[in-house]
Amino acid sequence: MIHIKKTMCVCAVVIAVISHISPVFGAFEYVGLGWPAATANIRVLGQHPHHFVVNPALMENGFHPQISLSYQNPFQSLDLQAGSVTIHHSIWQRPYIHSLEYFGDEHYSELKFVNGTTWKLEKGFRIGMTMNYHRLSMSGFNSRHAMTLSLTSYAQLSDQIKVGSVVEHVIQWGQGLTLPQNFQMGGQYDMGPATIVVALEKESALPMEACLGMLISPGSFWQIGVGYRDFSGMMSAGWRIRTQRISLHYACVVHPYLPVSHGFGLELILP
Amino acid sequence: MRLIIVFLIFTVNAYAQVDDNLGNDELDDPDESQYLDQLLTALFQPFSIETVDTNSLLEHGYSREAMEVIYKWRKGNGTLLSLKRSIHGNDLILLNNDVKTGAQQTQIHLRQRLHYSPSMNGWRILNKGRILNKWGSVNVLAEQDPGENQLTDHSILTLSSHSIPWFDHLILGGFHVNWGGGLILNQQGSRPSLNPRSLLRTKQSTIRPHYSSRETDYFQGAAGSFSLSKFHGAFFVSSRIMEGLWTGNQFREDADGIHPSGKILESRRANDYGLALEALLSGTQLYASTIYTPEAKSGLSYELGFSQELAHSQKIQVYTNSFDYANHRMTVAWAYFTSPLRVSLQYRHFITDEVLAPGFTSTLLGTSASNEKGISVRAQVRPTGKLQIRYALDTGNSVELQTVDDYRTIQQHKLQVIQKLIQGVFQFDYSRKNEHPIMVGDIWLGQFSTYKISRCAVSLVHNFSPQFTYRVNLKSAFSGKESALLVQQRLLGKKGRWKWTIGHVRFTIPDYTLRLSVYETSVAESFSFYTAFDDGDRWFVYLKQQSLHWFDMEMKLVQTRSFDDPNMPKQLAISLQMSVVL
Repeated sequence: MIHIKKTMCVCAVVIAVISHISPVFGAFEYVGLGWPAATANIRVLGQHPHHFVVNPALMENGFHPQISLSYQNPFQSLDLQAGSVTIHHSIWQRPYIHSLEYFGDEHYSELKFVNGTTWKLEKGFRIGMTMNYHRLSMSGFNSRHAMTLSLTSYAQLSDQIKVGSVVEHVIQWGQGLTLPQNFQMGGQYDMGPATIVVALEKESALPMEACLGMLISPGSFWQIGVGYRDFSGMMSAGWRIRTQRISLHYACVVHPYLPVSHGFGLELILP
Repeated sequence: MRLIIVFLIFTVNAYAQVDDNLGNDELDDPDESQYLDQLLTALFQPFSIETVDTNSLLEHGYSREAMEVIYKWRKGNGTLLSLKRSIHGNDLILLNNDVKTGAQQTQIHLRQRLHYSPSMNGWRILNKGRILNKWGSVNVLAEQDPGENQLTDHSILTLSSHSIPWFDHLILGGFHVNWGGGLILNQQGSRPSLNPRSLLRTKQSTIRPHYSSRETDYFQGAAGSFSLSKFHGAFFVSSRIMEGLWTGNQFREDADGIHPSGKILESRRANDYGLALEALLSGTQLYASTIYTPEAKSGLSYELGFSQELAHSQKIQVYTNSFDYANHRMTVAWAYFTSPLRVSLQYRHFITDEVLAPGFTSTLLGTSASNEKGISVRAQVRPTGKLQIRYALDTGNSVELQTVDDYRTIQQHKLQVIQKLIQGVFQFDYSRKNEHPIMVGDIWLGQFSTYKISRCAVSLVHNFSPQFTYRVNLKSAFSGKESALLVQQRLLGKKGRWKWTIGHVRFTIPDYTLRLSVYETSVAESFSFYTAFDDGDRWFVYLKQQSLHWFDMEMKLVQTRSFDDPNMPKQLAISLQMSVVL
């Protein structure tokens, strides 16, 4: 049964690539990596390096360099593996983020390398930009590559209210691989230990998806996140433990039709 | 789907909403191209409060009271601060924006809009940005309509500068061209309004960046304008891929611009090259333009114009695209403009070998008629400072009976009265349109039977306080024994950082030909109206909050209900917009 599922999924990817449909979309509705997966994988707002990879405008000046490692077992029992390394630092008061992500198995793999930075245009308003390199490999086929540019923004309206937006892959170079453009717009409301995040996401010609996430941080030591995405029906939950230098997190994503995904992460703050 | 929700989204720079404007022709179908023309003018044509003329001040949105204050201020030696102290309300908002623009500081405008409506069956996503300073501007726009694959299905990148040596204005990217009398060129803003000035062409060779979600009637490439002594000129080189369908030998660009997956459209590359020259010699303005389109049957086309200021505040204008009596388009206009009385008259004579393409020229018989002649008259009187009366007459007749659509004759009368009250404004509009066949024997299949339609609108605006306004619109249409009625009520308010509008419209329309339209408040930089043609009602709520001086959020919720079909669910539409202006 597992073999049949896997074969079907790989076939879907092959068809997607051949017909130039987005490989990311074709690849099992990939739920993303890292801590944001716990809160419905909303990455347009948040304060974690994995959020910064998608929306670098969230980054502020004056922080310690940070390395984040994460591992995920997407759709448990399909032998797929996913992992990422993210480095977050600043040069001359400008924050930068670099991330390398991998997703796939022995037949199919996606590799993504992201570099992003941000500019502060006004107190409380920043714009961001990422340059993304994507490589898609499949056994028996030549690898395909694409370079894309994404634009983002972040506005802090008050201590409680923040809004952000992302336009992913708005410009693309390379004809061999077409990546789906993605639009995300979200709002965040902080009320004491709880943070509620609402986002609207639209990928390519898919319908608009409303995402709801909640993060509870009762103390500085631990956090709990839950989330729901209305179009795909995915539910997620996770926890995160923080110390001064190290953080650990776990996220679980439940899809109505696909097996459960589990993810773990480790973050190191360098001196 | 019996109800139509029409939202045409265009760009404005946060100027007054459409439904705040008085003097609109309340009885005709809303003219979005005219609106877009005004907005592009406001956005991209240099505006200096010290030198701008009366027309530009009015077009920009200033009230007559503000204009008088500005004229007095110019004659004196007052500072800008003293002018600001003398101007209030919307005029002050406009002035602050104009002064900021005039200072040529670097500005950044970003807007992101999400819009859902049942008629579109999905979401429209609009992202746009503009950076401008004294060197020029960069304009970016990307739009995705429901079902389309890309966020950038319609995208624009335009560079525009007024600071390049030897050029008044240079544009690279998408642009609009507004030339001459519009006889050889599809262009915006050519539909005459009730204003007598609308029969005269004031923009002889204007180029402006394309900065709207409209996907037709623009060029792509390079355009420039220049001045040499008493000569002014403009040129453009354009190559654009258009998507649409062939109908016989005619390629019609896809009008709604929505290209969902599975919708099969053909692509066609259009190449166009144009040059326009005008000379101003002591009250006489000569104009000539030519456009070369290699793919077109005619190839090279030209237009000649002549404009002359006469004694006693009179003016005449003549445009033609040919000296061939059997194949030409020509307009002749005369105007008399004084402060209390303004009159203009235009005669047009269009006879061509090909069907008139939409937008080329103003026609009453419609784009399916091959030829047309007619007169347009506009008159405006101001007996007192608070009363304005406008009258308009348009006629359309065939020059030659070639196609079935030519066998008609149309006359249309319009009357508008605007009276300023102590705490508001009263507006009355009346129109009568008579359409009938030229002879009884011309009735083919009954489609051109005698047809008379009268429309009437009464509008009352009452300002309960500077922050709270009530407006009611009562509109009706009559044709034979059938009649239509529409009542729209709106409450408009503002308090602190909040601005809001609540609107309700109830309509009983028996037939599409008796349709009635109303304007609605909508998010900034958009043009919004509703056209009703059945029995139903509609609510809308508009909210705007300026969270910070550089950030505002806007939302509009609309619910439309049809009483014709009780089983049809209520239709809910939503618009969200986030704006950053730095």
